[in-house]
Amino acid sequence: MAIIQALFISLLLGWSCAGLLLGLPLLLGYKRERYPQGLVPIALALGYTVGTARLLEIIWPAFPPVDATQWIFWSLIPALLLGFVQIRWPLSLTVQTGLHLLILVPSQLLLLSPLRESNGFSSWLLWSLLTGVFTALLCLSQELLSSRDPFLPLFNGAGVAGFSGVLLMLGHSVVLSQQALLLSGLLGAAGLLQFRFRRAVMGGRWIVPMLVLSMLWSSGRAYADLSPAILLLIPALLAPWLGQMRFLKSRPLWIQRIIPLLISFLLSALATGIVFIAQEFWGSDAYDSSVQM
Amino acid sequence: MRKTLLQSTLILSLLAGFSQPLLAAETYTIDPVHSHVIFKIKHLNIGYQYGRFNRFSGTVIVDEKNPAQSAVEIKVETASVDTNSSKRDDHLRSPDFFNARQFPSLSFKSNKVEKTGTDTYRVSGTLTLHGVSKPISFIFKKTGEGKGMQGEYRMGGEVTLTIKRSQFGMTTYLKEGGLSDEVTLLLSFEGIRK
Repeated sequence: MAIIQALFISLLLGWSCAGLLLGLPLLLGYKRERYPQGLVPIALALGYTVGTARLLEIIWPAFPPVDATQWIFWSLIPALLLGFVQIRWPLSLTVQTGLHLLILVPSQLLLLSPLRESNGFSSWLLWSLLTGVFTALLCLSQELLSSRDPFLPLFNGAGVAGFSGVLLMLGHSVVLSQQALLLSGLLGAAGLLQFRFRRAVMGGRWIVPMLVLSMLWSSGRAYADLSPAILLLIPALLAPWLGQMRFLKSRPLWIQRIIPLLISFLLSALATGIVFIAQEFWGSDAYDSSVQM
Repeated sequence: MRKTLLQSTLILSLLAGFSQPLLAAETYTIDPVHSHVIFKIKHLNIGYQYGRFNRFSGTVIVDEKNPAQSAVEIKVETASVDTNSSKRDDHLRSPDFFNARQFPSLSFKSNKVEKTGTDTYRVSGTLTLHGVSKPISFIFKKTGEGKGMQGEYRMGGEVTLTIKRSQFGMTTYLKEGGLSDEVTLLLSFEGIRK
């Protein structure tokens, strides 16, 4: 009960902060073209930070943080700055991707820094680079997708973040799981806002969610017992691209959206099912694996 | 000449044998089979939950003549936490609590030992838990000493201390009242003299 209560209060706080920021230009009567796009990463980062601070029961983590998972907090600052830059100077997709790489790769290097001692320098470097670059590619894909259908990727992202929360919970970390659920709530709220106020084009929205999601996945793998089945959530995240394919493009809009969402849901449910069944039948081997690291 | 040499050797040997316990500090290696690291924490402000660590090592140096030269050093493997519930143990090893993969051990190293009674010592030093090092002090009580089953010399001791986990960055379920901030640690050990 205490866990649900903590999550609920954190979600409310996160939603309030993000919603206020996102809704402000709409209340002030900004036109579609003039909606400050950089507000989206700022609002999501603020919502996530406030919500997570409540969850972790800290005002702000120490710098540098003792617990590597708290690098997620500090990595949000450059994402916020990118938001400001986007308000002032709209950036091309190439420049945006370059900046995303500059944020995502160092974030993974910092998050996984304890692996340098336990797994060796080259392993740490390789994993951080791979995860950072792959996240930047996912981010680019989501931005491209959002420019075609601004609504679907947000809702789908909310679902994937929600299932990430479930998988992290099954991976024995309630705190990481709650952070994923918080992100899911924020993405869902942003999706609803987009659906309600169609005149607002919210660009540059994916750096914060992708940064947080990839860092939660990395934290889950490195420090908790997150199953490799989490990889099934990557195609789930990309499923909205199906709606852009010719065989669906000619169908009504609701079919274009419902089929990718359904496939995404099935992939996520499959990942959860695999982990659940594996734990039921083979139990947990977390003790041995943690000792080996 | 030969007799004198024999006598001198005998006298020196006897002197060395008697003087060793008086001059040198005695080092005891913690025997994990006959030692325990136990903790208790209050759950939902209702009842105490007990757990233990199954893997640890350490040494205790006792210098009766000069207690300031005594020292305690212990290292506990956080992944070996055992609360008689494997799922709860997995959770305790996760980043929510011990973050055992990032912080594989918790340790204590003394920097000051004072004799406070016949068999009691005040030990001050640094406890490192969850990557955070804090100074702590506790009373170490010597519980006994004597020969073991295989002729080895043993000494027993016990320590009880209470820490606040929030001071070590372990804040999960603190405000919701799920788990208390205070954690009581009990170390009961037998050491084998080197």
